[in-house]
Amino acid sequence: MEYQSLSDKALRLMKLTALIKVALFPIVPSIVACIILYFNGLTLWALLVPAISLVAGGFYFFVVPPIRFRRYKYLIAEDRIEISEGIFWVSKTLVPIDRIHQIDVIKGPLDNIYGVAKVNVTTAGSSATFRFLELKKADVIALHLNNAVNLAIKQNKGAQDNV
Amino acid sequence: MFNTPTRNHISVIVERLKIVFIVLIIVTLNILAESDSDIFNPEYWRALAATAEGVQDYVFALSGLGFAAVCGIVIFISFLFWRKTYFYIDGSNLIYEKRTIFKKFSKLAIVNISTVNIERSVFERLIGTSKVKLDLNSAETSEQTDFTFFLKAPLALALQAEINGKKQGLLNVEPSSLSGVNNLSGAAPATEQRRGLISFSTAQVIRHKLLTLPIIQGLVVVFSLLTPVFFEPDGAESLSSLPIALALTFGGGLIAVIYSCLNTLGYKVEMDSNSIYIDCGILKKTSYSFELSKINGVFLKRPLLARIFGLSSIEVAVVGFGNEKQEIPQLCLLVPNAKAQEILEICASDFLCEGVLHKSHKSAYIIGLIKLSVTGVLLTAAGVIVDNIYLRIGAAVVFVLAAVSAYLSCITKTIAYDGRILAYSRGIFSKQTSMFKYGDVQNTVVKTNPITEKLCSGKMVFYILSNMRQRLHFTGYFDLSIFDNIGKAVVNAKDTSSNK
Repeated sequence: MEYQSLSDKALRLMKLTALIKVALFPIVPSIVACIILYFNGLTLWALLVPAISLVAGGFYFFVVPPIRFRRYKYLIAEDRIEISEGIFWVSKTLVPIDRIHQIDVIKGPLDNIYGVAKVNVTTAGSSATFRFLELKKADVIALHLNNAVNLAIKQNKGAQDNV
Repeated sequence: MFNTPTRNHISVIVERLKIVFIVLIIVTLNILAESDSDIFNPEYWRALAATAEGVQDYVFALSGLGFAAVCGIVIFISFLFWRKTYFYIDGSNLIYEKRTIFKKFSKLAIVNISTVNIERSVFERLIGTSKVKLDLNSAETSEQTDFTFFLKAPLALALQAEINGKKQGLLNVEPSSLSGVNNLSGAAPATEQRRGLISFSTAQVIRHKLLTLPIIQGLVVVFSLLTPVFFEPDGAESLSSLPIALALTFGGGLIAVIYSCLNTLGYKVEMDSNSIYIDCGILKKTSYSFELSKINGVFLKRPLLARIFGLSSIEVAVVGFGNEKQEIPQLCLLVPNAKAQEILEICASDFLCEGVLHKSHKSAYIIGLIKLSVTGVLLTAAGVIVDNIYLRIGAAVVFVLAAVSAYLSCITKTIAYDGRILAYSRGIFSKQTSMFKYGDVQNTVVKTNPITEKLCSGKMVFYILSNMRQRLHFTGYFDLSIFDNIGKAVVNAKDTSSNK
């Protein structure tokens, strides 16, 4: 079993979401700059605050999506699924197949633009999500997981009956 | 008996009217809180009475009419609810139908009903009714009761018996092995003789309540009350209202402790081969039971004050046991450590871990040091910007406390695992050891950052099927190989939570 990576569509969507976030970045610093301008006039801080936010926004847009794309990996094995994601702080989620209760395929407005979808997997305690999957891939994964879960339930039931 | 549509008892209307009075009390308390410094002054009440005397009659009449109108609307809605809400048992399903403005039709497979509780408040005991509470085995509604029916007491017991009987028939199992029956009326459907496990005297209950007081939160409240004295220019004036504020805080705390003691007095734990039965309380009488097989987490707790006296208490996570009051079953209140261990071996021996105890990875200390450095920089900046001696002393104290707690946080975190059980400890002031079977762990998340990744360590978050307070668990920083082994064990273990 090998970890699978995402398609180029995923990278484009990651860039779009980063751009939206970057567009929202200057809102708070602009308000802060306005407050400084109002009370203290044109000071160094009034210029620095928006300037820093612009640099941070640029850094976020150019650096974060490629790292996020490179680090995003998933594995679907017979007995478990694994999702590894993150930018600087990386989380590796592991869900045993027989704990899965529900599988949802979700498409948001941005997902629709790039033809991708999310597959949300729910257990009795929490949930895990495969993000940025191509539509066909999402359907295949959902179907595969559904079959695997049904098989696991049948095996469990068989084992219980034998007991 | 319940094959035909059955309505709630008409007292449901009175129960729902309680909301109006609760709102009224909250509004009154809010008004009083606005004049907190005056309420001990007789002049305030005299002035209030004088104002009331001066008010025109029509104002009183309108206020009374308004209140009556609100009560009337609530009574009308409650009447509609009573009139148009039914439930009945249809084969293997329980049907719940509400035909009010917000219509609802629910079909519950009886085998999926997790617990059937019967609860009786003082008012319900007076009028001879009971609440039947149904809980489903669902994480979505783990913080609330799924369905509540108001019935005459004998009818409530009959419904409980019928649901359990149906479930027994559908599952084809022995009655005693049915899913947890939390019988809050104290009428347990046990067929086997129970044996006493432990009971607590009044002194032991008071000791438990006093030693589990949240000291840190209390200190924070007291310090926040004292803050104006140090920082406000009229600090001396603030002192005049301080005794009242402190008296209210301590008085409130004392009342809360007394109320909690009254609801815990006579704490008694019994068990048979399948279930645990707990009874307690004088003011609010509570007795509940749950099956041993439904326990999916055991927590050995040692609060700071209790540790001084060598005492521990035991809490358990039980599948399906979740309600609005966030009650958590306790296998025992504070007892000497040896006794707690003995109870653990009797009630939850399958949760005892025999694995080697692993201490925090060195990366935990590095992360702690980084966090401490950031705290130090922020505190120094605050001390430089604000010219106040108290703030500088406070910043220094906070830094020392942060350093001590960062170190203690690292040394108190441990993890152990064997072929069946995962156990981890955490907590500086209130130490807790939590134990789980791999089959009850729903999923795991291992978190790393560039520093810990380089040092081959990380921390793990995992979830179990339980109420919100007991669902999420996170360990400290440990070697990644430990988490790999735990992950494999979780995957290989059969799911034991959802099938309970």
